[in-house]
Amino acid sequence: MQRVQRESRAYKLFRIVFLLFFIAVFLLPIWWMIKTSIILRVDTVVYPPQYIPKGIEFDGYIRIWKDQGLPFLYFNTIRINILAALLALLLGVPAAYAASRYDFWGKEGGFMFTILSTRFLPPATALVPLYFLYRWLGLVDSIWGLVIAYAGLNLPIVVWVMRSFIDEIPRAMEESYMLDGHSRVAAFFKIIMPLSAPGIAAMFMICNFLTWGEFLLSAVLTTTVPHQTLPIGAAQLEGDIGILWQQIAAIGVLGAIPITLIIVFFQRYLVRGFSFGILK
Amino acid sequence: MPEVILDRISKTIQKKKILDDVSLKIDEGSFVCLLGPAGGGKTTLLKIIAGLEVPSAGAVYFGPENVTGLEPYKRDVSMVFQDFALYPHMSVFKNLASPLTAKKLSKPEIERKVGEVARFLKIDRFLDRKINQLSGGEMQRVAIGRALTKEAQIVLFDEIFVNLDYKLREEMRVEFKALVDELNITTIFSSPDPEDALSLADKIAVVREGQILQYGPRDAVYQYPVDVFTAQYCGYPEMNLVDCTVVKNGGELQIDAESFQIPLPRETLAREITPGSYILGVRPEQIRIMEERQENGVVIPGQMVLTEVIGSDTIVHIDVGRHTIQSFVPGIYRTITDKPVYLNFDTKAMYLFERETGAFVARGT
Repeated sequence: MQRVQRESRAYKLFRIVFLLFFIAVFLLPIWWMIKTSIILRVDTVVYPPQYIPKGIEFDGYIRIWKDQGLPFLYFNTIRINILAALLALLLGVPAAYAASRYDFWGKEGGFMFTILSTRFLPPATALVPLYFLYRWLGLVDSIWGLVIAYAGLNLPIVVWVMRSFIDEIPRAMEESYMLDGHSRVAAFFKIIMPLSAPGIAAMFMICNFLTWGEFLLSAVLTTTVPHQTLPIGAAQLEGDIGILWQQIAAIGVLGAIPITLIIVFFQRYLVRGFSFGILK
Repeated sequence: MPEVILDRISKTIQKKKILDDVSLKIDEGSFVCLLGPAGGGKTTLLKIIAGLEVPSAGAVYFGPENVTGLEPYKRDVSMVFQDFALYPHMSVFKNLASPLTAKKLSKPEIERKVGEVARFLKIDRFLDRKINQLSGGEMQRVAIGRALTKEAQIVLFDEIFVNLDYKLREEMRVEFKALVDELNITTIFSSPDPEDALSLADKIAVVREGQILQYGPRDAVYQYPVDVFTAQYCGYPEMNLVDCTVVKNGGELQIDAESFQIPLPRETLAREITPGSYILGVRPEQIRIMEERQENGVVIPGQMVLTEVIGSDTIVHIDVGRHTIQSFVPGIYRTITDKPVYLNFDTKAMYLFERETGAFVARGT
């Protein structure tokens, strides 16, 4: 008995140390970012680095607010990502429904594969043609241009995940609803949509997560501050006068807040969404 | 109340023939059971009547009206599904009200009608509950209730007892029969269970591999099966089947099953047959077990090998040489005697089928 207790105490200690180590590994970069954004500007480049700040200033935040057009960048990032996620869901959920419920020629081999294959190559390979297409359509340097591009990035994932999600909803349920006297469109909105809501919420979160820090498309397709996103704003702080670590870190801190909130709010749907729990 | 007519329906799904030239006429107000094994096309047939599937060929009529291409939501049909298909995100009330909201009835009207049906099915206590708070039997009632609130003339039931446990199934069957009789609707019911068919239906259609093998009043299907499959499927325990030949022995015909012989004097069968290969069939419930040799009817000596108690009845397996014959005996018997026993059945209970095709040839008189 005594021995068992001693072993479990040792195990407990080991577990705490182990977990503290991991917490440190994961929190250190975040601490580093926060710290860099508030220490004195001269201290951002001193050697050896300061782990605990000796002095504090909020110059970085003030400068990005005043000089870098932060309100634009901030607002753009939030609305572009949210709109792109909504657009991907708006197009993707009905497509997933069709892929789940209808048989059409070339569905598995052609349609579903083609959708997924758009993610086989890195977006960089399509950048030049995309730019010319956007210029022709007048979408360069516009909010909607990026919304469409991001929605395009996320659409394949939405279609594939939501398709397997809808596959789990018994056909009999919507068939029954149609026999009650409702149209198929009504069955989609009243049966399929509510029952796949956890999946939709989870995909909304994942879409935001995937495009939040996107740089390449944003860098090429936007040219002026009123249409740019936070990653571009951060990149422009590597300039002639050196790398403005303080301001980059400040953008990092502010940029992390909305996506963290989105994840915290929607993560409970992530587990439910992927375990398809509602019907079982 | 319209009759339902299926006119030469075929259905192919992904190159697989599910239904092959099926015709069926279901009288208004009658109760028809589609009886057959799983995968035979029963559900597809119901879905075609409901409009959830469109036939590849053929037409569906409700009375004089051709409804083949009509959308399900425009049909005067409701359907209860095997796994109930209740809407898990809605309350019992909303489930029951769904057909009424589709008709855009007023709120008091909906409440009145749902209340009526709920009281009728004794589910008025659960109206506020969510579906996942119901037991299997309660879900069943809600599913039936939802089909009733639509007030459709034709109601389809797709294997609705399959998911219920044995006891509940017995209970629901009795209740269900009373319910359907009271409602006076055209009922089409699919089931893999001959007990459902024989206890509930006015008419039975035996469905197998996309075809209707036999369609007729339930007793006619039981008494005069068209072939070996129908004979065996329509009845529980299954009919005993023994390969045999009919030979001429002197002037008289005789059934030779190797294990035993049965003389066939002239008037034994309803029609004359010629010598050849046949299958002899006798239903277990027609076979008595005797300890002494009897003088009447057919007598076959044998040895008890197994007693199988089902519910409060027993199936006794008797070895008669090359074959084992089952006899259905009311009551529970567990003792297996070493003494020889005698199987005894009336010649009326004998069925002969063609060996090659399985088609019905004759039965005893």
